[in-house]
Amino acid sequence: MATTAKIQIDGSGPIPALQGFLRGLLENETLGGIMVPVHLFGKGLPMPTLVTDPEQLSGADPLAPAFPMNSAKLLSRLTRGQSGERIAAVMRPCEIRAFVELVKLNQGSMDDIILVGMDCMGAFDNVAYKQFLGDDEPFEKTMEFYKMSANGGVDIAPACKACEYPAPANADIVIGVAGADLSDHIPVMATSPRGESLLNGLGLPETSAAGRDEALEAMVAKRTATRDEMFERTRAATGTLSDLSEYLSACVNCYNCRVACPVCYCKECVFNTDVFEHKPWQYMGWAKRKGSLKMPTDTVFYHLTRMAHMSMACVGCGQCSNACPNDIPVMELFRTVAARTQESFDYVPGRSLDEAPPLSVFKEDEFQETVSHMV
Amino acid sequence: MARKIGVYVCHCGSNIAGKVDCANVAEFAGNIKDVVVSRDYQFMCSDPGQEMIIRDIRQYGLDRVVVASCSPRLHEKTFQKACARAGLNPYLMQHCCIREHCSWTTADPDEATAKARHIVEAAVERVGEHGELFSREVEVLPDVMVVGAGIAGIQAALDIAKSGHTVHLVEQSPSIGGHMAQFDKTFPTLDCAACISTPKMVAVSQEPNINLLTWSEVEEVTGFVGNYTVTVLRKPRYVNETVCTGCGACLEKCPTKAISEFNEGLGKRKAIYRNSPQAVPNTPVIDGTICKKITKDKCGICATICPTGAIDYEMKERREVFHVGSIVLATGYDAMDPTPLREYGFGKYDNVYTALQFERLNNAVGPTEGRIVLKNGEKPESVAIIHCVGSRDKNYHEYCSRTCCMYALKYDHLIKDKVGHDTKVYNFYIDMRCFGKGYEEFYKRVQEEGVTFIRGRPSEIVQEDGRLVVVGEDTLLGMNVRLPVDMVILCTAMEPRKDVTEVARVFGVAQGQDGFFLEEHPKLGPVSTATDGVFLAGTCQGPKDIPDAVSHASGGAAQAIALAAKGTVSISPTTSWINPDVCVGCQVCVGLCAYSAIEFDERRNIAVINEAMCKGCGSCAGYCPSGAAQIKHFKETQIFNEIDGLLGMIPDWRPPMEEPDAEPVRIPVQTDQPEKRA
Repeated sequence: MATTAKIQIDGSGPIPALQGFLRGLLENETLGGIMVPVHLFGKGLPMPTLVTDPEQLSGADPLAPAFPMNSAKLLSRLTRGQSGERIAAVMRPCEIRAFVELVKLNQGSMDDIILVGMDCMGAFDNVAYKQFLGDDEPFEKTMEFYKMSANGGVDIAPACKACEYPAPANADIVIGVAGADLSDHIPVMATSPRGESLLNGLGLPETSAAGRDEALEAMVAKRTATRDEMFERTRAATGTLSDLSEYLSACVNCYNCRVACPVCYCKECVFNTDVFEHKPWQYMGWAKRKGSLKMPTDTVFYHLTRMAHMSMACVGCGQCSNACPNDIPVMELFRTVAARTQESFDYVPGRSLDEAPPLSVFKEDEFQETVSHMV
Repeated sequence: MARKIGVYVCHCGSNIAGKVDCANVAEFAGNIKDVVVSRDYQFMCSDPGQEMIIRDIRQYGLDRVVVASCSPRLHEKTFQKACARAGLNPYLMQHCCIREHCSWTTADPDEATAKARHIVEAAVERVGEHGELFSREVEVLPDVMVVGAGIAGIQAALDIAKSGHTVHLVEQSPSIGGHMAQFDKTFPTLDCAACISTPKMVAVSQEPNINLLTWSEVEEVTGFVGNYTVTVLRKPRYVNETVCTGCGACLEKCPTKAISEFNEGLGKRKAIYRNSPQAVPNTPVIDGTICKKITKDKCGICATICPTGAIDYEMKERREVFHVGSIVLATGYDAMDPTPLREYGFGKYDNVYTALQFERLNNAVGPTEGRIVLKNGEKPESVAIIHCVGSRDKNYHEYCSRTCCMYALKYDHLIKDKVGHDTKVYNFYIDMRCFGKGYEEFYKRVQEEGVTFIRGRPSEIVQEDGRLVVVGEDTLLGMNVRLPVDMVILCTAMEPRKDVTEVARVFGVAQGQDGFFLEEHPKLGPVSTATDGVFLAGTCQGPKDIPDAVSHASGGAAQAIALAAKGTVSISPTTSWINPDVCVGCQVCVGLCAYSAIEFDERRNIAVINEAMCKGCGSCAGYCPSGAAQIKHFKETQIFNEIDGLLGMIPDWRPPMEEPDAEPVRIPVQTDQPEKRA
């Protein structure tokens, strides 16, 4: 399973070369379609698109520094139940990790899917991408991004800056952009048996991913440092209930962060049920108790509940912050909390399909330091 | 929609009223929204107390009731029934606890009163969200399964059979009788164990209502109270029970020998064997792991000898399925293996015996035909009996095994009786616990027979010049003791069976900290378990002597008969419910359910509760992020309202809309002292 092939880049540049590679995959008779970010309208955000006609891959831009949404939830829709056909999905590492979590929760299946993971240089949030794009040609801007990021001078989204997983895990095929010389070729690795048989079928020349490990290592080191600074900062800002309330004070209960969250998987959120449909006299009662009541209510409660439910599965993709209309740094808060909860269970979401979500299993001897006084 | 809530605050004599100002709490409750009547009374659980609630439900048209008194564990049912008598659904009543949770645990009366107000407010807020719930009646299958046929299982099976119900009695050994069949005499009356147990064993084999399944093990139990489906593995006996006459000819000629488990390793048995001539059933069993015919297809002599052609080497294990209404577990205990206590030299020195080995030495059909002799065949001149080996010992079992003091006294007597009165007998004890009927008298009798009692647990047993020496301290005299003896008997602890955890899992019962099966309540529910329809009998629940095991077993039998006689069982409605429209099918709850009460419906891709198996524990509801899984009677709205009430979130404010136009509702708060309860 160590096949490394090369996607040769000719005069037209890396994007057409990648499109050609994807076209090759799609022409393989075992694949019915490919989900990949596509510039459908020339301008605007490239959206995850399920392409079945190889010709329509001409708008595909898997390298685009845009991340309008985490496509794990979309892939969940494509794999829940029987689709009948095998598809490939080109995804960022955090999207694959979120999808692995969804599969554990029976919200998707790995059976008929080929995961094509991209080394991730990070992406802009939606507003910043539009500014970055301006009125220019998207493919050119994508290439400009790569040139700039090679020099380290791009202001990607805070989540990406603090992401210590730039290399995809649990993919079948990995496109090794990190450290690649985009003027010559992109190395592509098969990382599973089915990825290998698919890749071998393309008849690409072999190569090695020279420089990739070093490039990834450097990225991880830098991003981990950024992450730890972020943890420090967020902890300091949210250490008490009143600080936390202030941190979240701009929340308007739009629940966009929940909708954007790839691992928030409920069909109906408890916050949409009658549990939170309070009676008028209850509001009055609460107001009278303290003399005032912030309406919208239950905002801190909402975020705490989401942490209780999802912090174990949080992959840190940052879509919550991307979706917030009032620029609350939700990602920072979630990642900071998730780091602690995940560490307590030695759990890394998306690391392995074989690791059950911690809250779904009983262990007899757990947290002895917490429960030993009960014996 | 406005509720009409009645609140009843109980004084519980001085139990609550000694700390809590009950009149104040009642008055406070009267001002909470939707409360139309609020009273305090000396004993709410008394007939007049209950009548007061019933009268108010009718008079004021109450649609919700809150009783603030003791723990719901004690009187929730009482007040639910009172409401039901008044025509109110019992689940529209909330019982809150201001005794165990408040008056008994709070020192300051003002604090206690304030706390009681919070607790009552929480209950009032909660009860508004209560909905009507209805119990379900399910049929109880008439047959009963008893697992284990030692003296407890035998007693339970006979009791149940006598009531006319069919009993399937499963025993893993080839014959019944358990440990009691190994004993010689029984304390304190010195009856011969066989003389009193064989009539019972024979009664089992002759009882038409008992289906005896020896050499069998329960593999799987599914279902729920009243409707258990039990799969029993019938191990191959290689001897056809229906043809065998029990003549024993086969036992003579078998050339293959093995250590006898029944004789506690003191003798040998053949590959085809039975535990004793009185074994029930008396059909021998072939040990398939050593029989030459079965392992190597050689020999086969027993088949040629057998006059009835009962030997069948081709017999295979098979499984039988039984449908029963309830199960009595009588799986017994293991005697602890004292080998790990290396200081006592068991297994190292020839004449160090366990208590069970000593029982076999005494037994007329044991390895020595009842003679108490050393390994060399000579009579012992002195014997040391060491109590509490592995019991009352932090390193092994903290509990007392409850039988050792008494059987040690029995040994004292038997040694004096059988070996001779000049034999010296020393007991190393911690405390003598002779608490049963006739036990203290027996202790006195043995003391008078010239037995020595030394208080202290020996530190070690060594061998010097071919003799055993018990080294210890006489803690009453405060001096060290070095006592040379010929024989040492270790009174080993009674401990849970080796496979207890697996058996607990199969039957869905819990284990206590000591490892034995856990009863429902240590005092008031010693034979029932947390799993409805699974009862305990004998030492599987904890160490017991024979009289206790037999009474316990009769108790278990009575519970099983009660279920079977009634024919139906009411299933509590406070189970979980999974909203099919909200369930997203992640299946996490399926794995979390300790009672296997959640199934996954593949077609609809949702989880579904089996209400008959659900205990309403809330594991599923605790996890389910969308709240699709919720416990009826513990719904999120109910809990949240309760929390609101506890935090005093709702002040004495009521919406002006709901204020009556004319006279304000008078809150009848009863403060006069009623007559004392009889």
